[in-house]
Amino acid sequence: MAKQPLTQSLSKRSLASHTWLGLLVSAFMYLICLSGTVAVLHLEFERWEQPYIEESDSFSIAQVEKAYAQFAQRYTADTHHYYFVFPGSGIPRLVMEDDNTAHFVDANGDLIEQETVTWTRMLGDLHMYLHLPATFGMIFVSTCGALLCALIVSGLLAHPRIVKDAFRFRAGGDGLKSNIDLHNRLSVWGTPFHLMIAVTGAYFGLAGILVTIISQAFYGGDNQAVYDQVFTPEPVLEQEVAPPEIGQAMRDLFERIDRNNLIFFAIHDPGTPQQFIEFFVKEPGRFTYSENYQYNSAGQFLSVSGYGEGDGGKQILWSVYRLHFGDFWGMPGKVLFIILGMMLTIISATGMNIWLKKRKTQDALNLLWPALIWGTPSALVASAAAYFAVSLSPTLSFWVVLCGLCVLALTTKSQQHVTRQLKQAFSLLTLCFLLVYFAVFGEAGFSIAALQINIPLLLIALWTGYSAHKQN
Amino acid sequence: MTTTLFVSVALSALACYAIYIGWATQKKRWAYAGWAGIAVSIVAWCNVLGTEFGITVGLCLPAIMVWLGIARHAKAEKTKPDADKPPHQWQCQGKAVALTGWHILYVLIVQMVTFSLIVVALVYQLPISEPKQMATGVIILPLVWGVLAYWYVMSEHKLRHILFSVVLAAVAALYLFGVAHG
Repeated sequence: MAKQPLTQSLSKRSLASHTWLGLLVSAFMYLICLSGTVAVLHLEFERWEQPYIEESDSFSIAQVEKAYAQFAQRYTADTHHYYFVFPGSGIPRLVMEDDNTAHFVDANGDLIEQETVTWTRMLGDLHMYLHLPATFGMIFVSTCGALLCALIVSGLLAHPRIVKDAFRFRAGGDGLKSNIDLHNRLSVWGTPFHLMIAVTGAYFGLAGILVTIISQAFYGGDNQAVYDQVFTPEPVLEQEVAPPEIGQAMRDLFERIDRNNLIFFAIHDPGTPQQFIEFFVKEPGRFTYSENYQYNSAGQFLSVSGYGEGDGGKQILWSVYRLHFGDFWGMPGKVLFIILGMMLTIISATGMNIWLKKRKTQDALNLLWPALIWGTPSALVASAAAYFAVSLSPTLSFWVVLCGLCVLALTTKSQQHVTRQLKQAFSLLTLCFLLVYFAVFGEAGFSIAALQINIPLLLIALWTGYSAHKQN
Repeated sequence: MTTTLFVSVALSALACYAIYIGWATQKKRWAYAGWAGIAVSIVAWCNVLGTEFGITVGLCLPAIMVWLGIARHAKAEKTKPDADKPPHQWQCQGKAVALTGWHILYVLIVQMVTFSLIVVALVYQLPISEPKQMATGVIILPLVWGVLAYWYVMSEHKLRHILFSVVLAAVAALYLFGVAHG
């Protein structure tokens, strides 16, 4: 980092700072933003992975009780929780699970197919950890959130013509002006969204660091004591060990809430005197993830956690998830977050493009960067195809394909060749993937669960193919 | 619901277009009307979706709507191929690599630790409930860290910046693990 002369203006020094910080995190930021944008549809991807499962928005208490009884009888291995997920979660299916296994439940309350969300989990892990070891990965990704704040501030201060250029866009040319204009227009107008995503994204990893400091300073190193200040502590119970009266608890719950808002319930510490049932219930019109209702084993109401109406701090912390993932206002909210998320992804890509185009020299980076940009979507599609076709680990196939495409890019002539060829590769891979998908799932490939992902995917592939053809 | 939703979308679009007209014609009254329109559209969104969702959508939507104006004003030049540039000569200078390595380490690790300590010590001085103190901490930590990372990278007096941050962090640690810890 070159030392700047004293007389250099704030905007020039801000630009230098912006460039340095941008280069530091560019590739990671791109992967995080792209995977995060796609992951807005994580619930839809879960349905898409098993499109043949019957779907319904209705359920009965008898169905839930029967499924729990069957599950508890079939899986006797140690578990700390049982869960039952309702259509209020955003997926119109019923799922009974413990800490290790999950089964869908049919209309009669019988356990059917095992739930598998392998590809969706790979996508989520890429966004949350970049597939690094969990704790380190999450802290690193959160660090990128903090640096996104730095990039927002430095970007705004580096832009002396922020008002003058507010609607300026010069397309074509050698690509430098169009990249600069695209980067700046998207960045400036999207600032509220970018700040929101940066702060809420940083929360997931940094909260753990803050909790450690607070627990060491004020609670003698007891992290749980800190969590208990924010998240309602588990009730202290003295009761006989008996199967939980789920039906009794649900009947009481439905007198307090609208049953369509029920997300899931958890049975904590099953088979112990501490056993209790906790219902997670959506609060319509609120970002708070849920309001929680606790019941003892006999199905008697104990308390409400207060995430909806309690302390403001609790409400804020319990609201981060929905705000970050766009999990509010149904599909319109998701579409909004996908568009805005894609804008942030384009900002990450164009930032590095600008730096590369401004350089007076060129090297392997000029080929590797477009390979990463256009190779990542191809790697995601290839990982899904390999997973559905031959059950290959999506994480492994994603990285093998991405690294392979980057190596291949080094053999091409120019940045434009890499871009065009990888756009074509993405289109072809997507078409192949769709063939694999329909071959594997047959008639179920035409269900809503499948088509709501596959039709947009096909349209993106066609547009990308057309764009490559036009570039040719 | 549908009518008010349509009205809110229309208000957001019209407000952005008014800002665009103000920019394109250099007439400030259009721009002011546009910004006022944004404020009104946020109220309209709150009316449709509730305060929390309404503010979020109302603030985020202009990022999309302004493209009506940007697209209208866009100028296209003939596409040129990439210029053939000479190859970059990488020179491995030990001191420069070490210095850059230190800057990365400082921004990613040292600042995370120092500002975490400073932010916790600061928010625990606020006369609000403990959950609110924690929520304030997790919101302001990335902002403080981000702004000071920018300041550090931009600064010509990096040593002064490091000393300032470390001393502040030491005072915060002394308070947290000395005074507050008892």
